[in-house]
Amino acid sequence: MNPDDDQIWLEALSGRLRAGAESQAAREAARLRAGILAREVEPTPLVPAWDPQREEVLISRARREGLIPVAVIARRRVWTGWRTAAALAATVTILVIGIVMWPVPEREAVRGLLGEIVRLEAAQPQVLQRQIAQELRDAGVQVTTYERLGRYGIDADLPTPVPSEVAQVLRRYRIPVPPDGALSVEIAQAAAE
Amino acid sequence: MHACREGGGSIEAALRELDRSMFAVLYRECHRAVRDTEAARDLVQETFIKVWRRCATFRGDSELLPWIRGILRHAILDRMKRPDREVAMERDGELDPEVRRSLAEGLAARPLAEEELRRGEREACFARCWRSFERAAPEHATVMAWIVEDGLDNRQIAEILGRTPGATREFISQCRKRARTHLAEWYALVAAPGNTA
Repeated sequence: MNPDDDQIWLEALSGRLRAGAESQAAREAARLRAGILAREVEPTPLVPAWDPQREEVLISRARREGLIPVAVIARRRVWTGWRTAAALAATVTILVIGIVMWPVPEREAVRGLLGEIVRLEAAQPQVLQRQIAQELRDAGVQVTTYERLGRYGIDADLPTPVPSEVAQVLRRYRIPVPPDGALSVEIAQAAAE
Repeated sequence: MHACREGGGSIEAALRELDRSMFAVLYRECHRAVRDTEAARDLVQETFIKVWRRCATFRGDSELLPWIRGILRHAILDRMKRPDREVAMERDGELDPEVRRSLAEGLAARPLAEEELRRGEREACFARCWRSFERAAPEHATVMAWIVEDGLDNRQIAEILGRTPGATREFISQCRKRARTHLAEWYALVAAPGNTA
């Protein structure tokens, strides 16, 4: 097989054979080309054009590989940390005021108010809402989702005792297991970078 | 591609856009070559990261998808070149056992050739031989399929392989030799009088 022969073979294989180039190499490649084109190809599993989980994997990878500048992440973490601290301080203040100001029966109400809705923040609250709702549904929970004033909510009546797979989903998103089984989560937009 | 130079949140948004607009089409191509769901997904995402690293080299006048596809194909071949996938045809002048077995299978099946011919089952013979070729020389078989399907020329093959023109010619020659070995049974079948592929 000389280089010219291989070149003719390649051109015939790619379907770009020069007119009149008739040779053993051209015939060989033309047969091969027909065979390759006629072969059955294993079907590919369908993938959705949009998959939030897949996107998160990609973004995490981009961060790990330094594609998204560290400074941006660090700033966001500091900001998120600051916001968390401020929210905690506000929560403690309300709790203290509630305990001090209200009589015993109302103290329950205050505690209930705090524990009733779990508030989360995410860069894409709607995506996170869908993700959590789907995972709860997969774990056999009937879920209602809603959007109110830019907050994305999830309501569900969990079976009691809470099954372990449901508890696992909640743990994954750091959502406390509601003692009465009434789950209420609201996700707000995280602060912009 | 504008976001490429802006950094920060633009990169994140652009990567998400890239994933939404191109993952499915690239995944199909990748899965056809590697036949592994996880590996295909990993390779496509690896490609998106590479696209971002190399976006400065993208020529605005060319189309984005073929450029990205070229990067993906290079990554696919890289994966195939890993030692655990590579099967050499010859070692110390001896035919590799994998190749010898595949040839033996082909020869053993030869008595069936007439039967296949009568029943018009050349495709079955080709499928069997091609699978053997893909197992033994995945890189060569994959590039050959791309040559046929996309009409690649020497320059495009060299780009995908990341090799010099000379090394690319050598690779093409190797493709032909290896195809002859693994598809010998099928070549004999289609070359028989009165038969065409």
